[in-house]
Amino acid sequence: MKVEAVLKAEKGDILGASRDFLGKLLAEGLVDYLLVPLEISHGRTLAQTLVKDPAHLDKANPFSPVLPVNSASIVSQLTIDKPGKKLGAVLKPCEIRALVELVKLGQASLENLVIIGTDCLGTYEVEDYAKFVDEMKGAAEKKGAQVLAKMRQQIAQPDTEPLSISLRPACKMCNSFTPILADITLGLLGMEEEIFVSLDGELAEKLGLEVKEASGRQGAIDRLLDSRTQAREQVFADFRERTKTIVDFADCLDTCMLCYACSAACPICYCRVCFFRTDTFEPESERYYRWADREGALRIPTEILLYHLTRLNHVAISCCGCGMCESACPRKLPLTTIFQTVGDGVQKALKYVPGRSLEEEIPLATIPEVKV
Amino acid sequence: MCSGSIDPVYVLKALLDGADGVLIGGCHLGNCHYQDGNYKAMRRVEVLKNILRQVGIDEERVWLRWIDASEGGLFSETIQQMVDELRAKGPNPMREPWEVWQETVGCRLPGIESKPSKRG
Repeated sequence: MKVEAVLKAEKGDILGASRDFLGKLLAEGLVDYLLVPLEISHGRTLAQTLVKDPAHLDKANPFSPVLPVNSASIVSQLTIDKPGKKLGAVLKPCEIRALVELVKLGQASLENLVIIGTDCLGTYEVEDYAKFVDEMKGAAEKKGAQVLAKMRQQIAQPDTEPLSISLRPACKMCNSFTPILADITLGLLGMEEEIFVSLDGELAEKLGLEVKEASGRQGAIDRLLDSRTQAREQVFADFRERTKTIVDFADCLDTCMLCYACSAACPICYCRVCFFRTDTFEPESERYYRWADREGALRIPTEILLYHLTRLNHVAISCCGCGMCESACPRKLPLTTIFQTVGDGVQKALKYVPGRSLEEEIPLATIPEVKV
Repeated sequence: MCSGSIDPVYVLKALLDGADGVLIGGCHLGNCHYQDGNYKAMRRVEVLKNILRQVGIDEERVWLRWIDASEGGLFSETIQQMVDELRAKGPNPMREPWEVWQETVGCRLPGIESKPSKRG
């Protein structure tokens, strides 16, 4: 039975309180390892780190403002052959959704895994954040806390001046920023000098947490949900309006250089060897000249549309909206918009919400109801 | 090859290379040697058509029909019907992919004003 509790943050030290909490999970043996974002490079960026020794948690930030990789891929690596280790993974909602999809696809295991889900206030592009931290004044070890405080203030009072860097496109349109399938939830929305915790009642008792309802939380979630849903619908409407023909669609991809970075960054694109990295469709050189003879001119590389349309077919149903594809894209093609909008269409048609439940099968693997 | 093993990439490849239509033929529902291969094909084609529609490619160019190996007559009728319907549609506009790239107006990223499309 889950209960709601709070962690007191002395002098508003949210990161300190969250680090203490994570340290307790290790100390009490509830988990033997923690996967958690740690500040590296003097706080200029953060990296998911597998922590055994709690001493390293002094650099931990479970509310990391960057998402260098979607950690579902990391959890897949750490759990796929069921090593029997008690792992606690600190994940953002989009990472949990991707993980749920990977579990359904047989690419990760929840055995011995404790999912510690966090409220996500949004994330910045890694390069933007590093530059921003460089330009901040003050001690390096305090910058993470300062950014977090500003982000919380921005959400609590949307009319305050925003940071000079803007959230990743996927985060601006994200309407699923609180964890759904977490064993332990760490929440910041609607909280002031406390962290909201939702967890098993016995566990709360063992950790000596104060069981208490968080009164302002739901209201804060609803307000953010409203504005994000509005932004999301607008992105969908604009994209649908501007892509009536395949030419319009190609327009969004016309500087693609087929580097496959989007596929490498996508947590759902899990194939070890992608079809497009094989020579299946690679013709002998002479064929290109024949195509050019036939068409008069031939754009090379030839498979840009084929690649993106195929990836849509493979991924759209499970696309969890993390936007890693666009963050990875050297040309900054609007991949988040494409995959989220087309994904939304496919998911609604098949009545499927990726990452919502472990029981719900991915529709591609189910038998549709039809009369024979 | 079982209809359940058809990856959409093959259908897309044919369409983008200019095929006027693609027919995916499978065994009748309930007759699958592998139990549910044709049901899986149905699901994949459902997703494929949905995506084609969303990106502005005529989904009616993809046909999924149940035709047994022994149903020569049905196969011939289906092909005839498909040819008639595709002929009525005219050639696949993707036939000249070079023109597709000619008509794009440069990556429309947010904040970058794009020139109006030739197609209006």
